[in-house]
Amino acid sequence: MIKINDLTFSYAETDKLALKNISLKIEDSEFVLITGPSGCGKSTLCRCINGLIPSFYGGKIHGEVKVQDLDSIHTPTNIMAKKVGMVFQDPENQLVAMDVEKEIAFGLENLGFSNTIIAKRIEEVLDMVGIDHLRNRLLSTLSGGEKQKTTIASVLVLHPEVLVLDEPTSELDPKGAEEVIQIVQRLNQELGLTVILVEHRIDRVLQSVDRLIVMKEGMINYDGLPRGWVEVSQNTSSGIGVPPIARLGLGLKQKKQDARIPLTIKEGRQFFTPIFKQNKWKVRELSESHVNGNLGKPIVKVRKLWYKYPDGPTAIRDISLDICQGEFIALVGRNASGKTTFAKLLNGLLRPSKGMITINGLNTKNTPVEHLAKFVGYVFQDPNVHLFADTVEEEITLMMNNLGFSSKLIESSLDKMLHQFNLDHCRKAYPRSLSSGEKQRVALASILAAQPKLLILDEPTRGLNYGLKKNLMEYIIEYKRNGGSILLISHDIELIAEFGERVVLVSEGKIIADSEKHQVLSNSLHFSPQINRLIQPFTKYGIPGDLLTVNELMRGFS
Amino acid sequence: MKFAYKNKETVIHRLHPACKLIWVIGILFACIIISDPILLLLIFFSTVPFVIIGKIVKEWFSFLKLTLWLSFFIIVINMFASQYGSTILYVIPSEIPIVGKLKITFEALVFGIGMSFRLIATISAFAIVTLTINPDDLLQTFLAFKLPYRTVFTTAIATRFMPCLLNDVDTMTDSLRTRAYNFNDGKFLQRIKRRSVLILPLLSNSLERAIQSAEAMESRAFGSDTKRTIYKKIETTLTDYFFIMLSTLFLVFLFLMLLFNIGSYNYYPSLDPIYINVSYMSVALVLIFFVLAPAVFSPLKKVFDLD
Repeated sequence: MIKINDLTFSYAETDKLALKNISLKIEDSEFVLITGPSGCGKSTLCRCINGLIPSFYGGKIHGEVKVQDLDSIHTPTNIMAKKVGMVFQDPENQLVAMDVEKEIAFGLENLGFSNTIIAKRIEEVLDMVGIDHLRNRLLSTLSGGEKQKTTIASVLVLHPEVLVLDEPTSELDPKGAEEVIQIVQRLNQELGLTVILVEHRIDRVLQSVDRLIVMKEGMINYDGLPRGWVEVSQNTSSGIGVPPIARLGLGLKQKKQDARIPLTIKEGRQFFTPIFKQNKWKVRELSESHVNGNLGKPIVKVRKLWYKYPDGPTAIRDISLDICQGEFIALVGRNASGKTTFAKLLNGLLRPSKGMITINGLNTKNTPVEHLAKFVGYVFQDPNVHLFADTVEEEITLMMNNLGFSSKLIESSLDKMLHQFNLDHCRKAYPRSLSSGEKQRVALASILAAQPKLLILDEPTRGLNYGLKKNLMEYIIEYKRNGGSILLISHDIELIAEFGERVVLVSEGKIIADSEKHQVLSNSLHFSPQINRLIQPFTKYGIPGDLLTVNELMRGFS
Repeated sequence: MKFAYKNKETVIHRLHPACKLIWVIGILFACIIISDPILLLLIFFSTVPFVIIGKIVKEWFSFLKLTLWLSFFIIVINMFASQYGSTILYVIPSEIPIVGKLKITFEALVFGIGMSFRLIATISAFAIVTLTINPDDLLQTFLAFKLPYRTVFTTAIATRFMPCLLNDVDTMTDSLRTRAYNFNDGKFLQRIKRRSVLILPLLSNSLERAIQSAEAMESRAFGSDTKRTIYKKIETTLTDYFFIMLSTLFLVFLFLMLLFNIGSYNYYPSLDPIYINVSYMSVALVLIFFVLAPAVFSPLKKVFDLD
């Protein structure tokens, strides 16, 4: 059992409280999900449980944290390790050895276990986590998901009673994330391990957790059943989204239907069958949004494009497409399907092996990246790789200076950007010290300030919670309204279903589908959003089979 | 990753790390005390079988490619910088202030070539060792020499982050270029200055990484008071002792060479003549034997050591 009593904490050199009077009891074998906007104190709370706070970080701490009979505040982390296993965000930075077996052995070696016991325990966890086939592999050859599974195994090998995972999937692709979550669920269900999971994509786990804790500004905002949270969430602006299926339940309930709120598609089909049966469907009015008639002239022309990496695979095979002014294209596909390669070809970081790309009439083959930058803005996934300057102000003006804008234009553009992206308060701040949401906005502002014609975003929402995602999309839509074109690379199908227009699906470097979103995203197992998967059996009652979002579905109800 | 260790189950990979370590120290030592270009070239050629048996030709060649470039510069710079030597090949007609007229001599050219043989032989040996010793085993070997665990381990971790750091450099460079930042603007010094914008962000990323890594290690009981054990300790078999002995004999032989001043060679003022006689041949053969020995006898490990 974990007992936290009136815990208050502030990091060294600041008076701001990171945790305020937290009291909490977590029973054995409970599966607890902790969520909340970035900076709400969820990671801090995790670190208090295994003693990293205060023994590693220092700071001012009051209150009591107990894991079974151990006092976390006064016990060094390397002793707490026997009771509490902790897994962090980035698997890359948690690995210490060369191969999987050695990595798993690390903790036991530290505690002085004999080789016989280590060997036995390794066998155990390899099976438990299902990575037996990886045992002799070098870590450098593993995928992100496999690496994270190895870190889970390397923590479990110490036989902890509690497993704490701090956003273990935020650096992983969807497939890796799914696998990691499944393992965590299994560990809790089959072994009865107490699990504390910090996660922002709560739709994946909501159905299997016993308890949800929502934090805000260092305090606990909600503590109870997940379903209960869905009902109260509509009244709070917590920045945490609920899964579309639950939102549909809420919507139907508001329409005075006697609806229950489902958390999974299976529940959704059970709960909604009578409602879908009874309802008379309005003639659909969707089609008007399907066809986007008012597009401008093409600014990007791609013709018979091929790309092969030197000493590597062929990543792009015979792609041809146009991107018009004011168009919003979402590029989807599995990992390593060529999405990022395609984006890098568009901004000149890579040059076509065969075929041609023209941007605003310029052939990318012989135009330097620095010139293409005027037309193509590229936002990298990790905002940290965008931040070089000493102040936010300098960061935003950097690109305009490079492009030789006049000082008057730079001045007015800077003010506009700071205002538009809500960064006025931190114009003199050091960009790397900002919160993750602010960093993302600075990165975006630093690109949009130069008014590129095409904006490429590579997985911009990975690791962001719902609130931040929504804000980001609002900025992007605003840019599009002013005539900009967007190429969004994303695995986030729900996001694309809601905001996208045209969807291009690529696989093994080839375009498999290129059409309006309803055509590409409907009736597919992997690339369909939740609502679309929900309604498939109900098309016999007249529900159109290509609806993608809660709003579209709600509009059809009479 | 081109320069990283890959798990290839060859006899070279299975040689005991201590044997390979002593061997590479031997080669380094040999390249320092020997200046005879023919012997240096022979040392280089004797390292090649390791590359072939160890199946690391591609990776090894990437190391060598860089070295060949460097050698080329060494030869060219030495030709102009070294004004010793008596056989003048060419005199640059126009006079340079202070220095006077520059001359290019045959001896300086050969000296440059000799130096690059030295470099290539050393790099080749280091490449072989880097590509065939599992860093975990290397760590253990250092520990066996009674070096303090924390120091050895921290160094090992730092080298593990190198690929991450290089990756960061690439992404950040790309990111700046897509923001119209031109790294190649201006003259040499300005270019270096323009590159320096990367330093702080890289440092900041590395620090973050170091903290995360420390947290994760601490959470897995690193630094607890118990005496640390080592899982899968490298076992040293009789055959391993034989190989370690061979490498050690190599060192002894080199020491004798130094003692009797064998293998030294004067380039200036004019090249020493090389007499390929019985004594020269026997020195060359013993040298080749010691360099080659671990590769030649490596199949023994398969015969005598099970597993």
